[in-house]
Amino acid sequence: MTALSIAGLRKNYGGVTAVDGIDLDIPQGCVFGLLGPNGAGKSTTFKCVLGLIRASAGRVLFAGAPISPVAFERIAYVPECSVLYDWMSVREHIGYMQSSFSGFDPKRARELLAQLGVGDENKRVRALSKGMRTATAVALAFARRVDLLLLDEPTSGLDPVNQRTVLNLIINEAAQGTTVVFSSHQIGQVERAAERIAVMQRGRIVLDGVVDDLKAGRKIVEGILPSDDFSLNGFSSDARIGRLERNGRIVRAFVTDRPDEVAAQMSALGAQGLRVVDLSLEDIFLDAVAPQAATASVVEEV
Amino acid sequence: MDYIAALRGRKALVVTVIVLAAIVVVNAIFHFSMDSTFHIAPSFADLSRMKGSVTTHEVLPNGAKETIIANKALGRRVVIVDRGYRGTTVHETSPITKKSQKAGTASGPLFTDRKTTDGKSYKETMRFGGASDIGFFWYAALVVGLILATVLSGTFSSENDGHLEMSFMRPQSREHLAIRAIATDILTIFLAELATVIFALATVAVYIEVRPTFSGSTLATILLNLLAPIAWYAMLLAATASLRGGRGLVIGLAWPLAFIGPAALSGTAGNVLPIWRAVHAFLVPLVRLDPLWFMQHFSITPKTVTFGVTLGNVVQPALAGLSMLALLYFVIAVLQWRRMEA
Repeated sequence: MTALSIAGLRKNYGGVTAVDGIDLDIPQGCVFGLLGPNGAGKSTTFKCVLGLIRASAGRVLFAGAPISPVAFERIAYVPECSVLYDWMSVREHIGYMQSSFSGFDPKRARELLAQLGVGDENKRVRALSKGMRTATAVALAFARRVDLLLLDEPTSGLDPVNQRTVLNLIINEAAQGTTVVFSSHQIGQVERAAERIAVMQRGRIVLDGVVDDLKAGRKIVEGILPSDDFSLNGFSSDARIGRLERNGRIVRAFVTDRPDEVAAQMSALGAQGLRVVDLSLEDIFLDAVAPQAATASVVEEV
Repeated sequence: MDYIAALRGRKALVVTVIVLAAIVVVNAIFHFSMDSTFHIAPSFADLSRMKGSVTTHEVLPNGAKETIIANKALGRRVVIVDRGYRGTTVHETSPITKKSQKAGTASGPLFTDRKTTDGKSYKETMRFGGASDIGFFWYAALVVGLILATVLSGTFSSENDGHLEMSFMRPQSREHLAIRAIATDILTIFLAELATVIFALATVAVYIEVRPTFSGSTLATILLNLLAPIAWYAMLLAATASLRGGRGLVIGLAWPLAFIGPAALSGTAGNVLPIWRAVHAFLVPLVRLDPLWFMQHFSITPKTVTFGVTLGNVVQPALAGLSMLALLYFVIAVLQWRRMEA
């Protein structure tokens, strides 16, 4: 069953298109990672989905229906920047959530706050560090019984221990049937928690799918060439190779099909120490958004 | 009730109550550290010193001090009954002269002045302390109400300033959220005014007995003194509902502008120069958008505030004007705020 369905979502600011016709279907109970460089449109997408900013075009359905204010009882959102009230204490924020949402559990909120190291409830938000503010916002969101959690960089500013805690919370929520959509620049975190990902660039989805499927079809063939000026022109027309990177004598071929055959071919050309390795999600991400940034020395684009 | 507005309101009320309590305490210290008991007799010292005046003092069976100043030559007789903390009554009889004021009744806080005449002499009874219409104390509350209204009027703007993701993610329509916030702020203004009335009574009670009374015009007076800050709040709310920052500047400018309008209107009234007549004509509808313009009509002096007259001539049109103005500004504010984007 689809928890969140986005079709043709577009947001223009004057002549600038921040979100450019996004289509996504996110299944219920799925952990969905939204990746993209700064300014790709991730936060704008979150806000458009929730109606916090008006989309220029497109349709968003939550559990098969357009999102109305009543649906916010079943949706929690942690924005990228802190939206907590500086002048209010953590305790008052708990009171605020309790008065606003019937599914809010203050006991659970206190447990989570303690777990994330926000011990003193009487502290005003202005006295909290950036990480503690993020932790507070996350704890308040996870203390609600919801069907959909939208988390815009929920680990931003957190220490590694709390980052791990938040990831575990995400995984646990999904295990209980909650759909979690989260963005992060920490690709390792997304790789650990997300079942599906979408990569955004300049407002568009440039890659999406199940993480395992994306990784399964792609390999890297690494080897050491006989000399620095060794020519690899023979690979330029090979449809199985998406991209070649070369750094001195070391060559990496990003292969989309039959990597063993590509390795054998490179071996025949004199390359040594050949090995076929899995692509990390970071490789897939970089390959999707900034192939030229993937390595300092790109020798050939195929 | 809106939680955030209620928290803001609570903090504002705490400050208000602390200030008001401090005023009571300062007055109590002043009263008990030096003899500041109210005595009216010295006001008639001139009469008692006149040639032919006879002054007698007597303590009445109820403990009150009676002072009689009589001057047969002038035809004047003043009887002062000083009951100390319980107040003072003055009966004055004097011959009718061209300067004599017309008969009538004027009242003010802790003060009533009744003038009668039998055609030959003129009798005036002034009473200080004791029964006093509670409506008068709401005029004191007006000042506090206006201050609170100004402080609270940035409620939408402060939400716009980085909290809309919290505000708009609540499971109610934006109109509903807006109305709840407004209603909470109005309640805060009311409570602040109520506290002011209570503390004003307490402050007066330090000096003289006060027994609050109610008349037919009390409710209208209370409504008027509540509506004026609410209309002021609504105007500032409408002026700042779309702002993310800079509301302090707008709210700060509103005060001088609100006074300049009515002042310029009266300043240009009756001017023969075409330019000033044009300015006046322009200002006539404009000032009616300013709640302070309505408020200027109920500036009080003991003569003008004779409740029955005030109610019919001034209070009712002001109530209607302020109500419509507040409603108009609330609609404008909500329409703006519901369109805000996070």
